[in-house]
Amino acid sequence: MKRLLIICMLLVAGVTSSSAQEHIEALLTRDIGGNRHGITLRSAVKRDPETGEVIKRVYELSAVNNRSLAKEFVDAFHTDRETADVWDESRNGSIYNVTAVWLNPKRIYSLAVAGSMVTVYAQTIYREDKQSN
Amino acid sequence: MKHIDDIKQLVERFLEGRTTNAEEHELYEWFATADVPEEWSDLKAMFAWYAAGMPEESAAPARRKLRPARELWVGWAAGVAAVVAIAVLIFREDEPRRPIDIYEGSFIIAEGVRYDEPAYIEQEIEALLLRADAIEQKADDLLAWAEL
Repeated sequence: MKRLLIICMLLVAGVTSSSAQEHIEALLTRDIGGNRHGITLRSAVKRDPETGEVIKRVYELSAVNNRSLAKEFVDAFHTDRETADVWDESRNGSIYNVTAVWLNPKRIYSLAVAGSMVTVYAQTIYREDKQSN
Repeated sequence: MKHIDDIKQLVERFLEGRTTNAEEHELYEWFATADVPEEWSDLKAMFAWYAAGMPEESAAPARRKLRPARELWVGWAAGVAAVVAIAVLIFREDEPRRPIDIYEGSFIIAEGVRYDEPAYIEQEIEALLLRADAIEQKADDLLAWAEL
């Protein structure tokens, strides 16, 4: 019984962890695989030049003249907000910015919206970058 | 007079401890009187020592020099293992290292077309990583402020 309880707790923890940014991730996944007009996706893997070990993975999605996509991302960020470990939002003129951080592992999502232009960054940090210290 | 092959078998049985007293005396006598081959000089000394009633420990050179087959195998195996280990170390040093592709896994999709040639994407990927580092720095400041 005790073992069953532990397994259930681990499963709940796993589901909670994997769904922490589910709305943002769902949008990114949809647009990463799609051939959507006006959307550019960049994916960068930062590696240790000595060992080739992955330090971080970054996705940058940018779109112009796409007000509906901008609104979808704003809604997704706000929906996932309650599970974030850190949340910061600001408005600078016409630019609306959000930075949200989840820990274990460290995942950083950043949103910038200016009218019909939207840029989203999603990065997962796998280990400290010794060179940047 | 026994044939030398018979003596050889008798010696082997002696070294394995399977000879009778009579057979052992036969060996003492043969090694004392026969024309013993040069390669058996150690055996000759050993049987002379036995025949003399094993006078002193230091006077028994032959039996100590004769190592049982198992001991010899262990020695050979250790030698082979050492040679293999050294060879592995040498060849590992000489093996060319696979060059690290620091852009492996990086790509750009624009208007539905995917680009992943390092020469084509290198500059944009480097610029993206700089922007990402700046965002990570801001996130770290927020975490420090939140004491997380």
